[in-house]
Amino acid sequence: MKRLALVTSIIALAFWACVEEPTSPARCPEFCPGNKLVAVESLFPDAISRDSTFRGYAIPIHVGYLPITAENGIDSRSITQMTFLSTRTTLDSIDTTTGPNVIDSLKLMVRFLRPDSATRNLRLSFYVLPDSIDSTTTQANLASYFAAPPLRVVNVDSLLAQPSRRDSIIGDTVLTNGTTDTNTVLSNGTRHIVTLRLKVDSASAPYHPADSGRARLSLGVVVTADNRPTVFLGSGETGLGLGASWFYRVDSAGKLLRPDSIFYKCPDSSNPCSKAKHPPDSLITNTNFDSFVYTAPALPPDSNLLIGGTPSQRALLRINIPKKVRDSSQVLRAELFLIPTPTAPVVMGDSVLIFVNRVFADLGLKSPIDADTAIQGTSRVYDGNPTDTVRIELTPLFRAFVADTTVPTSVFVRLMALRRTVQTATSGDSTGRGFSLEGATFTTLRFYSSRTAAFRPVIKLTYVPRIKLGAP
Amino acid sequence: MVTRRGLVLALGLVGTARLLAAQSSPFGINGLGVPGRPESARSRATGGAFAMFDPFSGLMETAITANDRLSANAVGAVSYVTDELDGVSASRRTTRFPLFQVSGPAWAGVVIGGGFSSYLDRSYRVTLTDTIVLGGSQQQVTDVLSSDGGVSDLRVVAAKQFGPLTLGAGFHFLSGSSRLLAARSFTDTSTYQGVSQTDEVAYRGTGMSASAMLALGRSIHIAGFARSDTHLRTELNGVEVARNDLPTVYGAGVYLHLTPLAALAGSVIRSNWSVSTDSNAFNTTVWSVGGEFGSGRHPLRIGVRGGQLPFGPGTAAPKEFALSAGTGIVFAQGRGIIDIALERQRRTGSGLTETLWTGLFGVTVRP
Repeated sequence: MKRLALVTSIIALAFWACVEEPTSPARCPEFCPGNKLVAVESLFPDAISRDSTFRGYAIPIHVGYLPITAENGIDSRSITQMTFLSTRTTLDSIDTTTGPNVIDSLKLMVRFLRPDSATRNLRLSFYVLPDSIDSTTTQANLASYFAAPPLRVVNVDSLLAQPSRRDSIIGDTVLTNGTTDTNTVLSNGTRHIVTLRLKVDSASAPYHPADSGRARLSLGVVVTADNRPTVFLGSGETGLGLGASWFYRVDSAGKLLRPDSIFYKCPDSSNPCSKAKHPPDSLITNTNFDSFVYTAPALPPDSNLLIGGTPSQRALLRINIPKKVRDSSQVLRAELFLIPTPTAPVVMGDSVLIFVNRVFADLGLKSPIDADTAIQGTSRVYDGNPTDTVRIELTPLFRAFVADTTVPTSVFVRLMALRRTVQTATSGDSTGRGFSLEGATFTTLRFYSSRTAAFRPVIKLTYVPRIKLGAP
Repeated sequence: MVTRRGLVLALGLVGTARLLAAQSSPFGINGLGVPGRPESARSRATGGAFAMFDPFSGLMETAITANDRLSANAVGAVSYVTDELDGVSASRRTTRFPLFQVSGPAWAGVVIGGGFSSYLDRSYRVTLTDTIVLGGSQQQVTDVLSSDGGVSDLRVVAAKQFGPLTLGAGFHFLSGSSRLLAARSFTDTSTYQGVSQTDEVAYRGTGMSASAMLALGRSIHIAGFARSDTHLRTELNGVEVARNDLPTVYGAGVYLHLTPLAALAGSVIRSNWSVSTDSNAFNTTVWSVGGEFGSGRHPLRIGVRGGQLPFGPGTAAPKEFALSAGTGIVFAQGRGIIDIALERQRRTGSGLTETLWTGLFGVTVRP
């Protein structure tokens, strides 16, 4: 027992003794350790080499906005194929008798980014296209359809100027006007989106029930304006594609019935009934496939770096991080400096920004990109060609390079169209920049490559070299 | 047999507690650290003057022959420290467990013992605020430089009495580690993220010591010792990053048992710490005088101590002066002893004045 008491008291003393609050006033170098962290700021002009441009990443059928324009030598038109429309409606809930739908009219839901303020007298023309459009369709394939009279033409400026936000004669309505006017904002996702509901009457409704038993609408949109004829339509990828509501009657033995005059009995004893009592007032069809067809001037490759455009182009930069930095230093800040050429190949006037992402493996054109927004370099937003050196913050990216020295240090530089929808609910990104869209712009920027020694891309690093701790 | 098992158990405990080190001081930042004092609470109460003759201090081997049975002693210390430098004052508190010793008779009149004590303390924490230029603009930075740890002296000793002469020898194994931190944070956290570097270094070293004590009658004892340590090897991840010579230490003392109620002692210890580093290291001489008065159950102890510290900036060694007092309580027929000491220290050098109030609590068990 005495030994146990001895051991217990010694262990208790040991725990009691492990407390300290050591602090001292400092006067360097007399009362400071010999080594302390020192921040080094250096330009690494030769850090980037073997940089190149590759093309063909985001193609028109995958982009989030459909850029349609008729300026800068580009003629771009959207094409949309909508989902099938049900051609018949059940007349009775007891048996399976159906009657053919007779379309009365339809309303198109059109959503696009708020146009440039310099745009004047903006008009959207809707053309009926064949059901056979797909990703291989070209503008030349559709020349005859676009040469036909349009299904509808809407003057966007006139409609937006309506004080009641409704054209009472034609029946068009402005649901959102793309401003932050709280009366017209449906959600955070529509803060910058113009939403129009356009009426197409029975005489024009492109419904062909005899067409192989299918009913599907395909539309092309052409933009015209007195100035800046450009608009960015929403696409199915972002949930902002074209939609249509078909208003109809049901033919019952030669008698046209309104949907709300057809009653369904409740098939079970649930109260209220879980099934609809009537057929829907309108039949909804949404975007099945959308893209855009265009003619644009060719941009032959040169010794510089091109980013942007459609199909999108990316610049692959291979970064030689100095061994002393990557192996044993800590990065405080890293910046990439890109110097633009005096003129850009294509400038659409839309808002663009530059992303820099690392790649999982450097396979040149086919390098798989790491799109993790947490370690992504992002520039500020540009409208047109940057007039000064573009500085892109790469600190998280370089910290990742230092943390894992096995990953390749190649990065893709991409030009993105600014997605103006706010994504706070899902991402915490209050600006929505992290969800900007590649390939959704014809804007193409050109930067000097490492082959132009005077203006080559440069890495600026602020880092703290490892110091020798512990040596007295 | 029971005594030997107890000795082995106690020596095992020495190994578990060796990471606990001693007090810290800014004077040791640019040197190897602040040397520890292998003195029991009883010896500290006499300014360290009794350490050469105290079986529970780790200074001399010969003193353990006073233990005629297994005995163990542990010391806890709490220091309240105030530093004044350039008109700036800072206070701190350190709590330590600087000493554990155990000894007892083995065979043929040989007494063996062991324990640990603090050899060097390398704990400090310095906070600096500065402004540097980054990206063409001034950035305010805060640096934190800290070390937490030290070097412990693990010793195994043996001594034997030959009539009036007692001889002893010991082997010392120096071991320890320090957790080092260098961190820099920026006021502008949106542009610059903070950085830090942490390392843990290990220390290794060995030493030998020998001592002798001569009894001149019953009331006068004269003692002397010498100790030589090899090198202090500093290793980072198993790679030696520094090697520093360690000093040779020698000293002498006298103990006078004047009356049954009064005893006096004095000692002088010399160390050539100047061999350890190229600069900021000095040889030191430390003296102490103290006495113990009153009954053996509740004595009054007082002492005074002076000397130098081995490390510090400037051309002269920092000076140290201390006054101390204490008492003790013996209970359970002498099987348990509790010693209490209070020490007031003052260290000065290069504009820094360090004032310490240290309370020590010693427990001795003799089962």
